[in-house]
Amino acid sequence: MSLTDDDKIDPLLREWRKSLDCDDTQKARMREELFAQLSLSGVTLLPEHRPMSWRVAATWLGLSVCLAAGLLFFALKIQPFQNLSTNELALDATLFRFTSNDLRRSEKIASEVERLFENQVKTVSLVGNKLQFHFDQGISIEKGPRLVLRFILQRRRHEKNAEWQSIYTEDVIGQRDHQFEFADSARVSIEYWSHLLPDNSLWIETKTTFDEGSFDHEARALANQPQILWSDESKVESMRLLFVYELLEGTEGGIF
Amino acid sequence: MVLRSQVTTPTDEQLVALWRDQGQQSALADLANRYLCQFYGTARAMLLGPSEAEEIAQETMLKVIRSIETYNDRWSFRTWTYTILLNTIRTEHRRAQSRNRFVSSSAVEQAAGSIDSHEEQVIARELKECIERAIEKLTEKQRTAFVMMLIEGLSAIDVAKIEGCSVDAIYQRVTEARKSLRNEPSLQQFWNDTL
Repeated sequence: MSLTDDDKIDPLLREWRKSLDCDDTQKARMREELFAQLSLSGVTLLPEHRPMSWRVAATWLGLSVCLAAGLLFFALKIQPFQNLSTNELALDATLFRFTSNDLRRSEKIASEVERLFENQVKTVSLVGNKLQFHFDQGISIEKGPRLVLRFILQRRRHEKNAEWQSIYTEDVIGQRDHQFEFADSARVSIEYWSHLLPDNSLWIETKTTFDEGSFDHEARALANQPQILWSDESKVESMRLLFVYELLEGTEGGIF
Repeated sequence: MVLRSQVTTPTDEQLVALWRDQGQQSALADLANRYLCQFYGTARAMLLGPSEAEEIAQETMLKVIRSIETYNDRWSFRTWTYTILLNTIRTEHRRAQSRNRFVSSSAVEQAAGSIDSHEEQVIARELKECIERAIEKLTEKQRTAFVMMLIEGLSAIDVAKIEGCSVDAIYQRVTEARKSLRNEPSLQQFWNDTL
């Protein structure tokens, strides 16, 4: 095909592409729906105060109403669970927080991994005394703050005076964005995704599968404040998954 | 007093910095305004129907916002967002394959809506149908390179970054795509008559 022909075809293709642009109604609808979704996912999106035309003002008014409705819905949706978490953990929250020793150990592991593997390791998980590295081959790991996350699976038998027992604990050291799956040996598996927000709180989404059922959970967590990600019970026992995270100091600038 | 000509539109990267580093929420809204329609148009050019394209545009923008903290300004923001967009479109294509949601009669009708005369409308509609059919016949890699480079105007270097291949490979895919379009039987008549 000659260059001349290409020169003739390209404008036609551009014209075709132009005809696929969205119109104003579609644009407004997409914006509205996007901002409504943002409000549900906990990202604030409030316009700054600046002179606006009535049209823009009307649009923002509509969006603000959607945003407020979304936030209200969101608050109502998660509030009962947060209350439950607070009550359930009120007595023993300190048991699940990271101690200064925990954090020192995690920071030491992080700096050693950096020294040995530079930027090849995406996450390090620690179960008991066993360290496991997860490599991200071919991808340069982004610089940024590092976190340590702790997952504790607990069980309580339905017997008199029975207490919660930790049956599985895993610490994961990694980046501001995490996505992974893990499972204890038997019945519980967890798909986990989290993103560190600008205020250093953590947005988490999990899907926990227990026996036949599965449970989706979204929450905003604060550093070193344990919360329950999931709980369930059968005839003989109750199960719950606790979660806590903390930022690692001195790791800004990339450890892995 | 600031003269109108002195007021420059902030670049995408400046808007990202305003939102990420200074917390200016309006910068995020500006980015959404800039990109929602572009994402929609690209999704349509990649042969998704109007409602699917809207969903893709929103989903991509949501992903961009959620992962903005991980954006590395060694990349252009546009290239970075198109990487996310393409992944989202590919996921949708996989989902859609079983549901046969590819376009395009309604898209073609909408696209032809602005043409004035009936005869022009018919020609435009036929041409657009032919183009879409021809694009549908391309391999996924050819289609991506073709749409991203020729239709969306990204540089070959950026498309190569997005696709994780060499610049030569992108040029080769675009050349093959052009050749396919040129040889598409339903377009032959247009190339002969119209050009």
